[in-house]
Amino acid sequence: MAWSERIAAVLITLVVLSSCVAEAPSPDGSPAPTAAPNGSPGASLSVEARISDLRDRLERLTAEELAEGCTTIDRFGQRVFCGESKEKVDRLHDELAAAIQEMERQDTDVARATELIREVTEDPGREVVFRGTSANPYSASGKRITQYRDGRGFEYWIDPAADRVVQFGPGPDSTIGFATTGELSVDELRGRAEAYLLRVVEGFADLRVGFVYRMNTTETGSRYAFRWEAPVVPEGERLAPFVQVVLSPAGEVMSFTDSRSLYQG
Amino acid sequence: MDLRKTARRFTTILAALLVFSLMASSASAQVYIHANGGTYYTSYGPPAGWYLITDDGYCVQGRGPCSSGYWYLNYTYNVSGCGFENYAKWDMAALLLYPGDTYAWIDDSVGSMPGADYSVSYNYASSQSITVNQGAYDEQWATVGQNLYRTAIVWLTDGWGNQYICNGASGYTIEFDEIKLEI
Repeated sequence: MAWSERIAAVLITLVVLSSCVAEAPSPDGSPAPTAAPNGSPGASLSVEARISDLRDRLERLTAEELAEGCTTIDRFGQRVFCGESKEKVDRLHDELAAAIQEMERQDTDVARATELIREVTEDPGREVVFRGTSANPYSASGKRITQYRDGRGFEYWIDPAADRVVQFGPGPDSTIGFATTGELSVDELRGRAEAYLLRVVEGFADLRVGFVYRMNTTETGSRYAFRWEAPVVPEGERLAPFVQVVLSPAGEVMSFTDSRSLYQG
Repeated sequence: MDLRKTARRFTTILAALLVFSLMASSASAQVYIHANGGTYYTSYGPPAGWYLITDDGYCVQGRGPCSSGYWYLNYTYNVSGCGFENYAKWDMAALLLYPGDTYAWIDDSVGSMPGADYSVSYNYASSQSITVNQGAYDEQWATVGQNLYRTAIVWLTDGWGNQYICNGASGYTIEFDEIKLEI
């Protein structure tokens, strides 16, 4: 454990203890908002203290199991936990991940996210579960997204600040099957793509004028991507904002992205 | 002596020290992006199994700042059935003391594999295998690992992922391009 990490662990504990007689500020360094549901600093600290405690316990357990537990060599030649050691470490790791997810959910409007997802999927009965938050991978702004998953395996990213869905597509470990052949021509597929985007993307009609359009397909025609991209990459960025829908040859929506809001604020 | 006032001063000093130490351990809003072919990338397997497309992928001319030495993407064709032949890893630049999410860039030219075989090594000696549908994405970031503490390495093979283990289909391309770790 690095010296800075030890200091952080000790100080977090001391801050929690001193809050018994005085208000204590929330620790910095956490990437997620820390406000408790009732706005009470005491409630917020207990969640964060629990996360810190779980992290410390995970570090200690991991060190113990590495020293004396079950490890084996995996298919890549690296040492990995096995047997009971794997079960114990995985259990505590999942507990830490769940505690962080609980903290992140406190500031998340899951009901509103569900409404947005139902609009963009045009499925009024779509049910999703909250998975966590992350800095978005598209822009250098680091603007955070909230992540959801439905029963079929689609993953959804929401920009809560802009109140919109910014991406959805097959999530990790999904087995959603898409058609690999179809009778639709490229023009027909483009027509479907535009009609869909006009229905679900606010301002798409105007965007089509200013953004640059391109269509891409693979050698085998396994997917058709219809993309409208901003003509200029914002300063400090690598990617231009874009709106895109990827269709299967049969016209199924495989993935969707509207990254425009991720570059703002 | 006013105990509350003293405790408040003590807490303020401690909080300042806490901010300093946490900045040193760099756990907030970190991002690491690693290219195929970069310092943090290692590929394995028969050389004949590797293919390359120049000026394609995440790093291309005009998409800067991206050194010209990285203006290409790698790909392979998938192995039919069980096992794998060609594979690669991306080592993260630092181990962050917070669960992170990893993303893979899927370009518009290749990456048709519906069951790509990724694996994320985290928390010293834990490993999670993840199947990703590269074929559904086109010049987009696709999620690989989620909420994994101390994410250390991302692996990708030319075999079928766990969800399609030992699948007999062939002819798919697997793209090896940028990997990004976000907190």
